[in-house]
Amino acid sequence: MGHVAASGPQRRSRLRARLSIVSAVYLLLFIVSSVLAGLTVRSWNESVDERGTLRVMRDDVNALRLALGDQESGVIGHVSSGNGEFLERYRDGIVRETSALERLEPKADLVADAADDLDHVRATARSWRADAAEPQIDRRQRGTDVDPELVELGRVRFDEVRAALGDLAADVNAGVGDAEDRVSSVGRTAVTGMLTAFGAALACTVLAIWLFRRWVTKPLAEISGAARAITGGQLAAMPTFDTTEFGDVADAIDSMQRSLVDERDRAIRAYEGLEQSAVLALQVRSELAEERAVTPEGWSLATRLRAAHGFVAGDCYETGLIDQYTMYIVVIDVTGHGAKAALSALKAKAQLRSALRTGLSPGSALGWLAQERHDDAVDDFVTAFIAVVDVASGECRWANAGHPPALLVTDGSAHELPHTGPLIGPFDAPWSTETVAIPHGGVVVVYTDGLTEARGEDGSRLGEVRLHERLETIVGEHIGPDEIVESLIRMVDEFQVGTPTDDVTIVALARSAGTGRVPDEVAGDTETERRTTDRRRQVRSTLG
Amino acid sequence: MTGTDGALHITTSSSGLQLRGEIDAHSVTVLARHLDPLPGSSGDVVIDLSAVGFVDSSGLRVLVEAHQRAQAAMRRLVLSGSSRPVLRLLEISGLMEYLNVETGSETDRSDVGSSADSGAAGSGSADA
Repeated sequence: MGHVAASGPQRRSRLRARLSIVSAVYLLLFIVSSVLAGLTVRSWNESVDERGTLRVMRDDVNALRLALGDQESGVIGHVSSGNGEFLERYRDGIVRETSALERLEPKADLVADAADDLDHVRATARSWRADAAEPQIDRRQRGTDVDPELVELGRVRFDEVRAALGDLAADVNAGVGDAEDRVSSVGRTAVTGMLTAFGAALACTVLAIWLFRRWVTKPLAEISGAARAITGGQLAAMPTFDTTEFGDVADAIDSMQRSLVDERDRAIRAYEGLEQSAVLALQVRSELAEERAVTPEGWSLATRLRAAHGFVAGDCYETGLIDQYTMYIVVIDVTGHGAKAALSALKAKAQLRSALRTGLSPGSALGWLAQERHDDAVDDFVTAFIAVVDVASGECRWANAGHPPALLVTDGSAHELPHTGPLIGPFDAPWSTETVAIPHGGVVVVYTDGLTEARGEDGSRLGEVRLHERLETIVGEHIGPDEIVESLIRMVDEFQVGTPTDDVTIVALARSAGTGRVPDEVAGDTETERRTTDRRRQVRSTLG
Repeated sequence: MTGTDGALHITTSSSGLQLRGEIDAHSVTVLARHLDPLPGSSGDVVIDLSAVGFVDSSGLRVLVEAHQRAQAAMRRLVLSGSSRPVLRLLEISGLMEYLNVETGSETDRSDVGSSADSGAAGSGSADA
């Protein structure tokens, strides 16, 4: 299987070719096993046949022994008794001897020395009959006494026959033993061969299963895993395969995935286009960034809302008058961007405006907004900063729902106006109202986190420290709110690397430097004085 | 198991997540996936923020929502080892007293709470 592991330009090979090789190996193994099994069976048969022949031969040798024994006992019996039956046994023995010799003759080649042994038996038997047996029978039939010398000669001659028979029997028995050894040896070989073939088949099967998993099952699992990932909406890198068939499938799925992703991107772009145009319409109506009234005398205001994604914003702000003596600032940041966030922010803004106009304190307005959004099942999180400023006295009542602290900058130092309750959405909470005086020459700067979270080189953020330093520097120079906002926007642009990812909103409200005395008091407007005092009383009661 | 999205690396353990990097609009979706469903089946879910340098409002939202899911399941979501910028965001958002924040060895929770209080008191005295 060398070519399977081969890499380089011919990285892929056909799965069919690999499976064909595995099948061929299997077939070869089968053929070799069959041939070996056939040879073993034949060898077994041959050795069993030989053993059978030799066993028959051994029986024939016994028959020969009996035939010769009968001849001897026949002669002895006839000579001693003269009985014809003994003579009959002698003659019969000769016939059986001849027959046994005829049977043994053709098989003599099977056993070493057997042919010689046979010849020797035949010769000694013939010599015994000629020299001793026939003369004894002859004398007996003629009535002459058989002399003991002849009897003795007969015994000697027959002992020779017996010795020759013993040699023959020993050689034939040895042959039978050898044949039996061969049979059991062939049997052992057959068992070993069968076990080897079984082991080889098992190993080949395991190898084939492993290769099948590697070539077929695993790639299938990888492809289906990747396909599932695509179904889950993710871009999945297709696994690479070294078989052409799975490579083709992976390529097909990959191109399908690409076209799906292209389609999805087109759809997203189309959706974004719609979204942009929807919010464009909102922007034309200037609802996200709204200055609803002319700034009262003695105060100046500058605002800026720069959305991150074209015109899509989750930030919004509004400034306006509750009555001719009271100004308000609302800055809102809704989690997320796009038309949904913008609409959500607009609605929140309108709700806060209504709350403030009905006379709720900033903190209570936030509580009311939280309740309204809870009732409407809005799931966005909102941060908001509200300031309500008494135009005459500079008294500022404010509340902050998890929004970046607004800054009151006076005399070159920045004071934070931090949260008076958590951001609106996840938790049922109270929002308190705080009060701070804006002195002449003081500036309140409200901003959203897009300003301090602007991302610079090496991933650092602009941060509150830089903002404070910049404000403390420029407010000390007695410049107007327009220049302050401009300066902060410039700071973001200089710091930021790449496209902005969050909206930036800045509202700066400045109280004119005046003459060192409060102008309202100079004017001696008793009406204003009284109203301010009432307001203070009301604030204290709100704070409890 | 670990997951990576841009600058945020997430290591999951049976008791929570260990985060490294920044949680912003780009990386927040992968964090949201790791927190829904919450890791583990009972006990505290500990989010180790010691190696997180920045969390934006979308990241805060995912953490708050996980906190609410944990509460609903009678469990506690613990934000542990928050760095200074992360603590500052939690403080600005007014969420210190609503979330389970375990700070590092340098400052403990009551310190951070009192510094926020003193800030508020400071502005109050400026008013008076």
